[in-house]
Amino acid sequence: MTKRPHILLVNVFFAPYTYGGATVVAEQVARELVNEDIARVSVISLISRPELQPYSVLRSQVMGIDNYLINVPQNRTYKYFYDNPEIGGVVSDLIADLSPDLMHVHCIQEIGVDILRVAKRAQVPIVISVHDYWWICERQFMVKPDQVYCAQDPVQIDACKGCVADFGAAKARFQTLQDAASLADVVTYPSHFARTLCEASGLAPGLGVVWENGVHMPRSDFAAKQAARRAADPRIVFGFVGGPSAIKGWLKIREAFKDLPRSDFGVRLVDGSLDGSWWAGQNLSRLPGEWRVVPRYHHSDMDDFYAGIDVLLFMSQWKETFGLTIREALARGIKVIQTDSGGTVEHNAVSRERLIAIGAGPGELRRQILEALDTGTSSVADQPVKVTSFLEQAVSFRKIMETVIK
Amino acid sequence: MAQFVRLSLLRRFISVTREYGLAEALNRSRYFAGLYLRGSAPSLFGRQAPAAFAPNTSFTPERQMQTIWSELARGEGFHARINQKTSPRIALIGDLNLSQCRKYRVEQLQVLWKSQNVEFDFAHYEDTPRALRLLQRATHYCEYRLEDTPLTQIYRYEARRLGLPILFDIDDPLFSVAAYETYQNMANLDPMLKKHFLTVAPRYAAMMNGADIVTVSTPGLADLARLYTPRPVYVRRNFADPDTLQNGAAAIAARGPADGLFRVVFASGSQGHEADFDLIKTDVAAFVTADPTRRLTILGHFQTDKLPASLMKQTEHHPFLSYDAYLTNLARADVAVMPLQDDLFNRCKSGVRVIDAAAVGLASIVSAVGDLPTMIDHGRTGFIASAPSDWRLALEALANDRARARVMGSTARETLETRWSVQAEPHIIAPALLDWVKP
Repeated sequence: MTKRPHILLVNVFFAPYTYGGATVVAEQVARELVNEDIARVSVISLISRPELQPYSVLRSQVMGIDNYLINVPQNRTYKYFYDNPEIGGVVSDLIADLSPDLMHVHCIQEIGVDILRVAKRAQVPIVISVHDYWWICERQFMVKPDQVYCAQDPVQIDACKGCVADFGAAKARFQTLQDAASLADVVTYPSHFARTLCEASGLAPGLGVVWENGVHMPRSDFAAKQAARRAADPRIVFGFVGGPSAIKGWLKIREAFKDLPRSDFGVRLVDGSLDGSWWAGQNLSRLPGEWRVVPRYHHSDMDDFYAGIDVLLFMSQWKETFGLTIREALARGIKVIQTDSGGTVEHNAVSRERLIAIGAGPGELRRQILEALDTGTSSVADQPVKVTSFLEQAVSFRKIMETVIK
Repeated sequence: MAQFVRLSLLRRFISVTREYGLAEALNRSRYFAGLYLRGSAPSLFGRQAPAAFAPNTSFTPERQMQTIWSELARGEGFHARINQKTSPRIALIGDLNLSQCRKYRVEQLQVLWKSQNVEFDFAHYEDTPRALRLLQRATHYCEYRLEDTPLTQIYRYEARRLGLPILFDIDDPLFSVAAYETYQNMANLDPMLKKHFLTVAPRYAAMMNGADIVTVSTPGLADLARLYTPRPVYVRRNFADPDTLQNGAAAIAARGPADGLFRVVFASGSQGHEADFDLIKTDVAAFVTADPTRRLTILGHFQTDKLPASLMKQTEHHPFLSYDAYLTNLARADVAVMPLQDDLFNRCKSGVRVIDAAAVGLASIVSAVGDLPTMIDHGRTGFIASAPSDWRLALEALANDRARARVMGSTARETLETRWSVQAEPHIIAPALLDWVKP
């Protein structure tokens, strides 16, 4: 392998437009690869600005990483969302200019798979990193329109008839994506659960490896911050990172708290939206305890959020591929109450008997909330759990690169 | 319609109605139904109506860029300097409306830089999407013949954002009020044209001063430019690119059998050159009318009514044509004449007419003004007329010894191929300019 290979990273968003968990992973691994002098990284991502010409390209740069922003028009056809030759053309030019040693494909919804064909023609090795179910599900998360987890295992496109709007189009998409994924040299998954499900569903069988995501580790003063907060207010504080949607488990959480016989606690709801709209209009005043909506946090102030809570509520009602917030909490010794939600349980602190089944009523959640309240902050304070850091994730990516770059 | 009555959708509609009310449920239904009916899909980039995403042509380029620049700045991604060792790639944005200028200052640069393993792309300044696209991929930005306008400042600002060094190239003294005020050809043109040039001159000077370096086409123009800018000024001469040599050879091959006439050709690529011809009008008229087998051939823009009636009878005038047609007509002549008034403007002139003539195997007789004499090996490839009487003497010498005229033309062609073709030598391109692109 070249001493310092040049990676062309593709993800729908990238700094300065950081949005979504997969983007955080893509960005942080890229930065570690660059900082550790393991690789050079250039990025392709999207913007959608009406005042700029469709498919024009602007180069941005954050922390020394060039990001080529392709401007996509909004009025694209369904097919262009997963297979867009216009983007393929732009990326082909960029590959010719940049001569990358590897194309690393993260989340490419709205970018489409033509970039894989382009890379293959240019003889650039390809690593696909799966972060969700976009490759096997038109709806990306295997969540049906009524916000119920699809639960197919494996996914068989014929069973999607009642879910998708246009079955013929969805079937063509399914086949196109499977064909394109087969062009990859390696497909990484953040969990065994995701790899097993995707490969069983026909996505590049045999090419998959598990490449566990990293997280932002706590800073050295985290414990002191946490202790200071607890000293100032010993009440238990629960945290929930997500919007008020059924699929993220909000309805279960609300039900569990609604009739709680205690109110000596706080709850922090993180608004992950860019415009602070997720929790607008939600009436929380009738729920017991002190409820507060806090704005989405940047990794630089992540410790402040986690120092302010004692228990993370992770009530996802679908089988997620990883569960970034669970690892962030565990790395800081924050207790987690969670559902049995796919790859989210593949960590060292999992307690199988305490996992709450998807679709279960609020009873078990209420029981574990009361248990946490009964024991107080001194008892819920767990020791930090060993989780993978972004640096460790970057180093393990080097091993993957060594297998595909000649 | 059946697509919208699926059980899961109905459940969702009821759920949203309960959570957010009927209005929101209907609003969402309308949005998703609209997407489906348009054959589209939900986007990560929001729910705006499609019309809001159509390119808004009412935005001026500077407004278009200001929006995205602000966003990049807020995300700390505004400055995007080149931080990797990368092969040089020049993006040229220029005024490509003048075909001769485009050929000699833009298209042939591609050949020159490719010979140095430097990628080179160009765009007309009004083709904003292409121009901006080229900048994103470039390591160096070259402006050709651009005046200071809001649009050219946008390009320059974008180039600075991207950390590109900027070169400004010009091949006429458009920045000089002194040159245009004393340019004698202007006397034959609409006074408004002169007024325009005088008005815009400071805008070209501003462009020179905002660039990192300046390149010009002749040493005379370099001397003049240095009076207007403290920036380093380098010379990159026009030369005979492979297309010129090939088209010239084709014109020679298509010359046809000799018809016994001796043709003196005067080519004029733009308006106002009657003033130059005035310098030799009397001598040329005397030479041509002295023998019925002699002709004056005028190619391009020229007011022939200013010629003596006797000369008109032996004059052939071909209007401004394509470059290939121009070379074809040029090749039918026996010698080219290139008189230039000795003024500040003409002292900046390059020898492109000598290149054209040599390309079709013609000797040239030139004024000792501008860069024309540089291109002539006096007595071998043509004559430098230092005194008024030299024109007639040279013409008579060649007309009376046509074999010599042919040999002189062939030598001019050989010299063009060996000395004035594409080559990164100091007489074509300043070494400092090569170093600037390839440090």
